[in-house]
Amino acid sequence: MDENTQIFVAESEELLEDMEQALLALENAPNDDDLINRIFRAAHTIKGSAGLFGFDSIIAFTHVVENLLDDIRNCLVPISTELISLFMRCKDQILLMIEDLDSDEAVNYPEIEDLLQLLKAYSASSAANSSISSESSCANNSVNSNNPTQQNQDDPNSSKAVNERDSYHISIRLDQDTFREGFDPAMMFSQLSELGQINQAKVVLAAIPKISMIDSENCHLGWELTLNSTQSKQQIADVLEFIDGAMIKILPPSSQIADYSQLIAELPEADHALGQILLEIGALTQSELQQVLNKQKAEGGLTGDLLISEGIAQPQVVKTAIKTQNKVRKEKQQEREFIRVAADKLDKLVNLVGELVIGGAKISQLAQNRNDVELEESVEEITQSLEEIRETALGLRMTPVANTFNRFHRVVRDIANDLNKKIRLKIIGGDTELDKTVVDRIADPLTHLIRNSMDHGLEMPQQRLQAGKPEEGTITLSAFHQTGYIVIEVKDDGKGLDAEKILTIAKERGLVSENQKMNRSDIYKLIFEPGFSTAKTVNNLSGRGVGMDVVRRNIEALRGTVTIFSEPNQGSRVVLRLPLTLAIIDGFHVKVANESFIVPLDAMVECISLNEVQKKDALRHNYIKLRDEMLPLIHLEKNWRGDAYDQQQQLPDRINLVVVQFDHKKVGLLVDSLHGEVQAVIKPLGSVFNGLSGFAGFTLLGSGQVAMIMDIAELAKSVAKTERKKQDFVERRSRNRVDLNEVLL
Amino acid sequence: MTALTANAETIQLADECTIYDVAELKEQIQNVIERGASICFDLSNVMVLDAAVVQLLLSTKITLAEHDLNFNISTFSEAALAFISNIYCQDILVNNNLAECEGE
Repeated sequence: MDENTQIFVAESEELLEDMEQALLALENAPNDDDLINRIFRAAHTIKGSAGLFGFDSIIAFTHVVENLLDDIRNCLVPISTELISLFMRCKDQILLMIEDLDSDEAVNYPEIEDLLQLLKAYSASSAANSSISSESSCANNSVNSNNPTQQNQDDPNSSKAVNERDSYHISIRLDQDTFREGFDPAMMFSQLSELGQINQAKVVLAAIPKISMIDSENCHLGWELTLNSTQSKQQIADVLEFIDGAMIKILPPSSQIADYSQLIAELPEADHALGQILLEIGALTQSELQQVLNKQKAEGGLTGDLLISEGIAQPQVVKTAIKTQNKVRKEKQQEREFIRVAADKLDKLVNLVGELVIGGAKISQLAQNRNDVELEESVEEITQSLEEIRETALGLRMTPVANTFNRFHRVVRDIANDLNKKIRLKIIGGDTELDKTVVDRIADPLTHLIRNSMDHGLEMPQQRLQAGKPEEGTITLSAFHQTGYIVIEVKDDGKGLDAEKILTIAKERGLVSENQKMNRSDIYKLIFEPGFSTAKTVNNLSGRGVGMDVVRRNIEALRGTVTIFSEPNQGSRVVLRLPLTLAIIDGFHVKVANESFIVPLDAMVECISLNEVQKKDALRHNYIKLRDEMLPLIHLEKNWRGDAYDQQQQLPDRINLVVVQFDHKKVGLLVDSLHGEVQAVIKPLGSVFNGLSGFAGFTLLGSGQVAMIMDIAELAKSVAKTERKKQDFVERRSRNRVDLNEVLL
Repeated sequence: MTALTANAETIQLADECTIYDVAELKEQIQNVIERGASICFDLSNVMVLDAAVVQLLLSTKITLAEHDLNFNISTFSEAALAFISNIYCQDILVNNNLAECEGE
């Protein structure tokens, strides 16, 4: 796929995303013109861009979609849930066609015929409606009637300009290559003159750049003109067809206000004054505009309000003109604020910064070895700058989770309809930022979680009412930052998990032994086991027993964790904790038996040197008492060396303890020496280390030495597991003792 | 050709002034604007004109207005006037823009 097609795909995907959001919002506000225009603009832009590349199938399909949208804008077709669902399917279809652009083989779309038939059926109904448009379905139709004659009767101050639309209004914007192609605009006017009389023609200055900005060989010329002609619109269009690449809009005589509004929305210019736009399209006469401007000067009022209060322009026309101005201003502002950059370029930049960090660490090490104070000071300055560069580079990849969260409105809507449930999705903290790599990879796990909540968690409306709950269930998707991690929660107010049922099924499937005693929290964790499912029937939503397992694996692959909380009849809450970035971390360098390890700085609580009593405890029990708290320990050397560890070796005089914390669980790591803070570029461990747990990756130190990066979440989990085993053992032993005593008695 | 007057500089367009000449003409216009002077165009010798030149004149008018400088055309040849009128730019380039260049 070439670069231009890639841009087309990326932009179309964004437009379709926006179209979907607008369609969802339209369901709750069916008379919102803004939303309808947003949807129309998305379809229109995609069709236009597809035209540039000759993607005929996309043009043909989008054209039919656009026609129906246009009928909706003209109040000929009423908005309904079925119609919104149809447009959702059309949006999916366009997306599919766009995604298939890089396919070498011809792709068949079995659904397309069905969609086209439905779209055309709606459009056919609009034709019937057009004859009774004054009674059409638009709620605001009585305010902004499409019938100008009716409007003028109701409003004696209505504009003369509106009444006098007995000519064609033609808008022409020439293509920028027009001059180079040798086209003479005088010829165009000459041809038009053959069709009738040109009453008024004005060149549009707004599109012409200042002298310092203009590429004088590019054409920026455009005109707004009125033509008195007895010819048909098609005949006029045919005459203008020969102008390559030009944007031509023709409004026939007696066009309605809505047509002029649409024209304003479609014209590219908007920076020039509102009055000027209205003047150029023929909605105002020069004297009317002058009258408004004089009054505006005297009273300091707004042009739009004055145009309406003076009865010179219709509110709908003014409203559209203001919207166009605001939209273009906003777009121009955004153009200034954002640059589109390919994600792989950012990845490359982050990788290079990673190499720079490693190189910087090497220089820092060399400077220390040389004992050169001046050199050390210079290196320190570079290190600080490097740190800033690193932060900035990583910041470039941070993106709001809302981009992913907003997709779920559609998921919730469609699934709720399928299940005949009433469900609302609430999003909290959508502007929380997360590394793009992580954002991209949480979409699937979140989909599974939301589907599960909808399918298994939330009750049917009747059941909810009987349980004293509102008929509509709520799924809350929230995100917030917490000490170097992002926490994402999926919460529902459904019936909660059934611990007994889960345990029974787990026993049936051999996931736990018949006599195994488990607390509620451990039972809930069973739903993440491979092949576990409580659904009686397999459906297309959930119940295949793979969803939750996939969730856990995907989240763990991102160095994250999944925890589930549930209360009967109150609902469930799944908490995902994910690292903010997968690329570079601030770490603390420790050594054990001459091997280097990096502890993520976010997880560190403190470093202490063990006293004699603590040393003995550490060796005997694998825990110590630290400020009246029992702290489980991990003997790093023993863990690292495994069977090769010499139990008899003499312990060093000084043993250091690094206390780390994960999710309120503290663990002590026994290490030989502490070497201070480092920036660690995370490199993935090769497949040879697949069986090794407790490490998130490795990094290269300034000395060139390899250091393993500790996975604190994994370590905390292993400690918790060991503790549970110990507890089970103690419980079993005490039970056995009781049994034995009973026998002896 | 550029001639200096009291407050404005005059730029005389050649007899054939088309897209092939716009780059040079643009530079000439920019130099005058950089000197902070108004511009008076003399189109009396123009026999051939095209839309690229007209567009440059329009751009000059916009730019000069932004700098509070004057844009004027002293004289038109018949050919120049006809072409400007044929592409409906006379409102902007002819009406209210005719003035004596000297003493602006």
